[in-house]
Amino acid sequence: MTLEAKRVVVGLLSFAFLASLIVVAWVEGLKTRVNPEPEPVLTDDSRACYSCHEDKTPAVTAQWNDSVHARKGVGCYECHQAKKGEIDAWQHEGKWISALVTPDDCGKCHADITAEFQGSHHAKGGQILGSLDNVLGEIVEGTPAVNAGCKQCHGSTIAFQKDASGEIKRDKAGKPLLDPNTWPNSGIGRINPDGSLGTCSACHSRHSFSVEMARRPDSCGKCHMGPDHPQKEIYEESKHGIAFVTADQQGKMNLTARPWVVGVDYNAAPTCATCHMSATRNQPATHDPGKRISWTLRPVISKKQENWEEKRAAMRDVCSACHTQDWVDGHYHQYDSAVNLYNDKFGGPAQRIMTALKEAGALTATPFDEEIEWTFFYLWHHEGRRARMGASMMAPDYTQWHGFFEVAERFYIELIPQAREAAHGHPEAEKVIDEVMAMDEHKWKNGLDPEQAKKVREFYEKRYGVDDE
Amino acid sequence: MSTRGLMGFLRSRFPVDPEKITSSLNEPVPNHMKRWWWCLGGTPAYLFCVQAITGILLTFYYVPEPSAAYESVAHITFEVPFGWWVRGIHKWAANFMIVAVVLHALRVYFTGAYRKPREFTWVTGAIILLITMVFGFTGYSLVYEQLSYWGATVAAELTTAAPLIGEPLAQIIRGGDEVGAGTLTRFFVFHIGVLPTALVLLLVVHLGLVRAHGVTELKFKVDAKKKVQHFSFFPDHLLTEIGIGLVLITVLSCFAVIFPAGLGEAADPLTTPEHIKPEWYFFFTFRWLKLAGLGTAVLSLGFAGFVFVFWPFFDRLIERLTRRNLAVPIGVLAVLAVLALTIWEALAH
Amino acid sequence: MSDENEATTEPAATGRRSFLGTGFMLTGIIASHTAALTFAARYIYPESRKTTQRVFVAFKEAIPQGASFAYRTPRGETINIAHTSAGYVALSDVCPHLKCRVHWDRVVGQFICPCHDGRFAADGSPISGPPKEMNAPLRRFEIVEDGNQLYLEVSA
Repeated sequence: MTLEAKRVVVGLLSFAFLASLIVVAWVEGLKTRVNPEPEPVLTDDSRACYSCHEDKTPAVTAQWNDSVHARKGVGCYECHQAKKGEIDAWQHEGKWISALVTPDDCGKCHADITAEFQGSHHAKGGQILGSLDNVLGEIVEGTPAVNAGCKQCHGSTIAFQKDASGEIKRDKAGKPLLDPNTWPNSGIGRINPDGSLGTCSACHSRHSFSVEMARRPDSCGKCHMGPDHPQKEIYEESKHGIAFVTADQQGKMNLTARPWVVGVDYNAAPTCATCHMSATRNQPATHDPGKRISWTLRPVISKKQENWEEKRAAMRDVCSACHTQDWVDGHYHQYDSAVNLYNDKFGGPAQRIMTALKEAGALTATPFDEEIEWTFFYLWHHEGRRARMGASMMAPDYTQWHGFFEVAERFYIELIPQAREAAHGHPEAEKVIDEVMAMDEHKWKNGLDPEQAKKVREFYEKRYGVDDE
Repeated sequence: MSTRGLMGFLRSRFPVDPEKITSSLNEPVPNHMKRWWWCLGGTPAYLFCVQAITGILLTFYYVPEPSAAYESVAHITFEVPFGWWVRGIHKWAANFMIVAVVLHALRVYFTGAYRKPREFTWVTGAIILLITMVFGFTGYSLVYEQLSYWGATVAAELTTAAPLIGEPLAQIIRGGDEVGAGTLTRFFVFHIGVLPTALVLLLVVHLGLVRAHGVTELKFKVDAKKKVQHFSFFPDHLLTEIGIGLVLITVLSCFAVIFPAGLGEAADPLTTPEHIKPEWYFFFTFRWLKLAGLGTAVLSLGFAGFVFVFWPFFDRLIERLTRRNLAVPIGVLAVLAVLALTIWEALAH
Repeated sequence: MSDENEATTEPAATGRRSFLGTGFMLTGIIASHTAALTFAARYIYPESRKTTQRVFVAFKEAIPQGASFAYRTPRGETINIAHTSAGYVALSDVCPHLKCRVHWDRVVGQFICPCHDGRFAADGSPISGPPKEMNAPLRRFEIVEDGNQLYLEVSA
């Protein structure tokens, strides 16, 4: 190679190097975009609140620091701001604020979600006045039990302390004093002074507002547990709950994903939110869990919901992210059969007997003053629900031992003998009891020879067999 | 006139004759060095300059302290403008340098260029190769991620297996009974102070010897008939070296973009990762260690290193004893053994 | 490439080509190494990479058309955010001339810098005074609309 050619080659190589440097500059340029992990942003309005509350309530500011709200510049004042004249407003360090943040406040940004929630059964949880449960709490038990118990799930009606003239009491700073019987309260159906229903923090706990927390079964488990509706325990017993524990430990749940689509963002297990609220490939997430529930398992006798076919189709769509059509058909067959069995054999007849006893004057009008009323309450409100809910979410033990077994025991061993005793001297009522016990389902009580036992089994096969529907 | 005045001013202040410098540099270069693969000696020298520059740049932000080391590397990689580029080049140049030094050594070995009177050119070069590997090892450890931390721990433990000097040597390397703050500082000092100084000194001797002896001349058939058997170092050979340098830096820059220097998990002295592996150039020692057992491996590697450094003398000894030159078969065997062990380790989990 | 044996001695006749070749070579070497040095200088300069972040500023309904308000970024810059007929506009209130604070004059519908009577249109373009001579508009920030919320892209 001549020296001249060499110079040209070296020149060309220099320009190749320059070209590689241009690529380097371009890559460097790509790195100067939006910060992937943005820092918490304090607006001017919130800075003053933060600087003081960082010292006074450090956990609150620290939780907020880790929240998505912090990244979006939604801070103290953005949520707690109020207008002069609002009933819960007061002037604090120069700004009109309120301690209460209601769905109306959240709805300023999350309008669609709030509207959806306001239409849900959840939002109406506080309107239990006049229900049988309310009589039980308010009268049979007592108000403190209601305030610290019932209303912490159902939601209180937020009230203020008032003086003799009916004016709201205020402290020196002008802060209105809330009635401690009604506050603190994070019940999902809380009735707020601004008229809005519920509180978003029932599930999206303040001040981290973590979507991950809301998607975990524990969040629902604050209320959906215990003897009368152990949904969380039922879920934990089911294959779904078992799968979740392992999937969660293995970090497969992807609980912070947005959106969180089953079959796309995660596959290993469903949580409560997956089936009742979250997005699938075919439907968006909803803040009205009722949109996918076809039966109501709450009352004495279960009924199908309004537009239940539509609602069931929505739930079946969730199932189909993991299960085949046959599988889902089979589950709904088992579930419907169990509910029908409860309705027809125990819930319905027990209700009929109770009504007959009341109508015959064999029982007083006062609820819960007679033993049979407690027996009946146990039968449908506790055990009957456990049986139905256990079947709905595939928990065998809750369906059977905690469910139908106890329903049967309550029915045959307590309700019927107590009913007969109460019906003594009331032939109309006795007639109803006899009619109930003469039902094919209950005939076994009169003694079974092998032929009869066979007949009973045949009867169930016919009644709840595959050809039934 | 003014130029002359300025030149005169400079000449009287710096009484050096530029002509003399040029002519002393301008050694006649044999024609075989027109082939680029004969210039592998210049490649590591160039890469060393690249390492010195990028290394100094990295030192601007690196903090040799266990609680801050990893964070500072992350800062360089993710936050400092062009930090990823500087670190990427430093990382890749380190790998390239080992390859280049090894290739250079192989070329010298198999052409017999180390023979009398150039024995000490080889000895210094061989030590430079070992230093290069230690450079790589200490540098990798400075990142203070899980693998590099545990690599350092294992290596320090290995030295204890050497007879007599093992334990005190390990103490000196670790700066205590365990790998920790003292170790990181020591590695840092070795990496940016002791090793560069040693390397520069050896390089001066090495290059001085090369210049003093002249390059071993090789005669290729096509060259033999030509009238001119040499060409000048300046500017002809220098241009070749510049060209090679440009190719190298361009490739390094591209590698920094395409295969950026990543960052594993931060070092955790409480949890040993499941699979620890050293950098690829230590694979053969690692595999040998597993095969031969600790004591044997350390002793045999030490012996092999000794033979490697003083090979020209062993070569003569073997020739006298056997009356045959076995350099090529021995070399081929050694290369195959190292290659086999390296590939074995690379494929093993 | 090893076939030329005349390479070592360069005939003087090719001097002009040599000059061109040397020029080309030197241009390449100087250009590429200057670029590399610039990167190195940027690397050493003690300022981390500029990143921007999104800051919530207001709800849309809070700024009817024609209205404006001042917003202070977390870094302390004041920014005028106006709802103009052309949408939401966010402008720095720092005059590009000598860094005085401009203010919005409702009557004339201009930003006015009190120091040397620099004037800017609603979109920040210079109308008169020193800014016009420099042809320097007010610095513009990017407004991001997300639902009924307005965000600002500011440097972190």
